[in-house]
Amino acid sequence: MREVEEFVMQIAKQQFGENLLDVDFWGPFDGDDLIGELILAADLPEQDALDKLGEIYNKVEDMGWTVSLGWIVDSTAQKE
Amino acid sequence: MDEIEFAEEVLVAAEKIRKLPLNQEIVSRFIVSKLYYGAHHLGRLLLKKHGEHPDLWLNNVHIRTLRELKKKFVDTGLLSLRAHTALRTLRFKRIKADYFLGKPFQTEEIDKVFRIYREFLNEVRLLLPSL
Repeated sequence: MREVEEFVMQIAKQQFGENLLDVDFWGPFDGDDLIGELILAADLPEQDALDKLGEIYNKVEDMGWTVSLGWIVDSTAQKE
Repeated sequence: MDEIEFAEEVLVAAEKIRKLPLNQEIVSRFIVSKLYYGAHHLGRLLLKKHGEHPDLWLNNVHIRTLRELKKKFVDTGLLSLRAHTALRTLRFKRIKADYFLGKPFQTEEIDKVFRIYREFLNEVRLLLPSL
């Protein structure tokens, strides 16, 4: 699972750049090798986020893994 | 009730339920879960139109639906990767809503779930007449 986490983190950084603060990995779940939530510093339109997430899914699946991901905006960043 | 009616009625019901004076954490989780199933049934409808029989699947139904949609619709250019990712995102949110009670939902997150749901519903509506 560590290998999947590292790969997802690497691709997520490529896609979201500095807007990615962290990925909160929750572990394997119900047929997925890994599920987790991307934590972003700033909001972005859903369509942009979906496109970036789609690229992550494609690259992860090319490696033979199945993951499920979501994203949220860091609540402390929103208040600032 | 067919899948499109179900998807549309679930959306109408979710919008009404959101306005009820109830515990918003419960309301959020309820809405997210039901919207995912509205979208999931649209995915199954597409597969049925393609000649698949998702009603006969007994295991890994949700992941299998996503995999078959990718193969039969996204990889062939019928459905956008964005719409497919919308369905995947709704599934993730549903898992969060139903199994991860310690992970709270933000108000903005629920707004996004509604918009993502509409994005998927609209693309399926446009695609169906050609199938």
